[in-house]
Amino acid sequence: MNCDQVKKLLSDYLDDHLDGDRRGTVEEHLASCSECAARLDGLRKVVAGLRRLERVKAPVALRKAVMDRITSSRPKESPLGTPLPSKRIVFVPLAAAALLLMALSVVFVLYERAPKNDADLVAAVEEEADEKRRAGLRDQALESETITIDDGGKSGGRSEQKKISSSSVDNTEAPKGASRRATPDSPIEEGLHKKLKSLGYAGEEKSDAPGALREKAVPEDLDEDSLAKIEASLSDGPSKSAEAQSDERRSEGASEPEAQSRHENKLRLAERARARKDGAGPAAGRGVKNGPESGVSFPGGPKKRGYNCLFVETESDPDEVAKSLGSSLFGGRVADHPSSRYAWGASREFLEGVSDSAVLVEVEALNYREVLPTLTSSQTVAVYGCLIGDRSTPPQKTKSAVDKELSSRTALEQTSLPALAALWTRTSRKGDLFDRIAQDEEEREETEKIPDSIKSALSTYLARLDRGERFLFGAKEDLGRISDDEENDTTEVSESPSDQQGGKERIVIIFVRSAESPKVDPNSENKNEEK
Amino acid sequence: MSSKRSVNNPEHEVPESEAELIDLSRRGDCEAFGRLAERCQDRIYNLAFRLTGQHHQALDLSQEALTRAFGAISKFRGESGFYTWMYRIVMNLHVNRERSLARKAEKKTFSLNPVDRADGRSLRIEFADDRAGDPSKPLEDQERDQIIQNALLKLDANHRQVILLRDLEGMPYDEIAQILDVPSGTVKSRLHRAREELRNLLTGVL
Repeated sequence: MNCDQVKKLLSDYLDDHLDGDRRGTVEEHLASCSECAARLDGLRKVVAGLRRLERVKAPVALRKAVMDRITSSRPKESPLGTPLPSKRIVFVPLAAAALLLMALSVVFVLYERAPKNDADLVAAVEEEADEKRRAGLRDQALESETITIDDGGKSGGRSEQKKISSSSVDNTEAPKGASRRATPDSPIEEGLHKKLKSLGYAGEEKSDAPGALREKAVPEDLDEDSLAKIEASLSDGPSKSAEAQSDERRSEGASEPEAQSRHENKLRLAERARARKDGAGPAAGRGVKNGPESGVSFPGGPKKRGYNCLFVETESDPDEVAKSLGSSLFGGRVADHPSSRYAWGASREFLEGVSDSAVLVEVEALNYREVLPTLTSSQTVAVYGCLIGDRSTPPQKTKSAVDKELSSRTALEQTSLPALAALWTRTSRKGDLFDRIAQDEEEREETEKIPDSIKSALSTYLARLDRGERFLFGAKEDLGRISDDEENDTTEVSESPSDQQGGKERIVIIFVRSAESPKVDPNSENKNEEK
Repeated sequence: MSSKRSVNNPEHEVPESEAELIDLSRRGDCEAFGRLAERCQDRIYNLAFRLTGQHHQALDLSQEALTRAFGAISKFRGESGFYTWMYRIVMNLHVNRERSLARKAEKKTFSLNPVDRADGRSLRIEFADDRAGDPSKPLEDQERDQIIQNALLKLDANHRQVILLRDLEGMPYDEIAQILDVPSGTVKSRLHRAREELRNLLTGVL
């Protein structure tokens, strides 16, 4: 056993947590290594020092303050002598009523936007088919609107394309067969900053303070036409009306395959109409991307629509993109943000080394897991995440709720995100990244805990991700704050006002994605084993 | 848990066992909870002080933890120890506060932490406090305690929590894991790193 191995065992040795064999080996090493012996001595002194710390007594004021607070919160007696209902008893029905009202509002909005009769349903289904057809013509299967900015081939004559896409607009129309083109000189930042501004990020006064938001001015020399196109493409406004889209369809005419497609659509229409009759509701209407049709599938269907998301893809240096975003968001590099320690194994090195592309997604806190499956770009890899901003405490869930959620997932999908990121990196990407991640002992332990069966399953998932399928990943701790002992769960009392506001906080997730599709090497499994 | 004595408890007969006090508290008996709080408040406060390093924060944290415990005691069924449960509340509150402080610090242009001067002396304003140290304790010991406390505050909150629960409170790994809701392996690795970090910080001092 060498010094490095012994160092890691010294703490356990101090606590007498080593079995006989290892204890003997450590003692043998200590007898011959003065450096490790000195280290052990130092640790002993630390522990002894902590144990000798003075026991500070609570001030008298503590009990009085606690008593004052709990007696003032005790249920008051009504004039009739029966206790008034507690705050919780009053709150629960009120909260339920408020939730019901909100749910009804959402349903109403969706219903208003959904087709009202069979004719509308036909139009909606056909529209979806048209959209899919157009999407098939694009270079990448992006659901959201895409703008391509050609920088005129900066890098060695190769035309470097940068794309900005916004998923916040449902049913956004992409130009037929190709993305819109802006002027060659339009930098990505202009479009980006406009989008950020529309999201409310760049609206504050410019400040030199490190934590302050900064606004980057749009250059005056930007071509008017290009600007208009960028604005139009980045707009969060309503999508084209059904009538306008219907007109477009009529003008395009219908080919043989389209007739076949329409026949199939009618069959689906009948199913949808039935589902609607059965109370499936307007969610079965247009614009909902779920199930095999869209390649996006998650239990219960998409819960929300119109996420305030911003995707940025670029083949340029991701760190440059991150720098630009960081400058816009909080006046510094993304990876330098103090909260980047909450990132899933992400750091400046991570961003620098991972990939040639980056995707920025701006979502409301706690919603990001729901957004992951909606990332429609064929190469988006959700497991590469850099969570910037404060990672709010996961939503409170009971153990049974989390168990239920986990039961619908495969073993791989229950893997924790840091571990998966590390595993992914090792399996299919740059090995040195794994080494960097592996420097963090906790994450390395997480990865090592993953059974071989899961590791081998990853190859299959890589292929499925490559085909555009999306999955939700995350371990128990990612899904919600729960207690192993549900009955003694103290999560409720752990809530602070700041936690309660967590859902309103903004989180920025940088998704790092490769410019190329992940290549699945059929021999990768064997290679990994060899490693 | 027997509650016969509690139910028919004459006012002058004060239940002494922790279980009975918990049972009464669960029924909304503030006085019983007050007695329960009195029993555990020193340990809670001591832990809170070592976590925060400041008396006013320790007072605030302890007060909040005990108040929340009273509000949630109906859910406590005694399947884990009362102190385990209480410590868990303290730790959860502490983590939330640390996050809240970090958020505030991000929004401001200056650190909320005491700034050290170039000469290494702290600029923190020391308030006169009759609990600042036991006057009967030798000055050398008081200084040593203060140095250790300062080093503790330099640790990451997760590491600080683990090392305090283990080396100050003497809790076993599995109980610490229960309090912090992390696997035992994580407790071990955090403890190892926390001790190593403290050793580095305190080399030549202890």
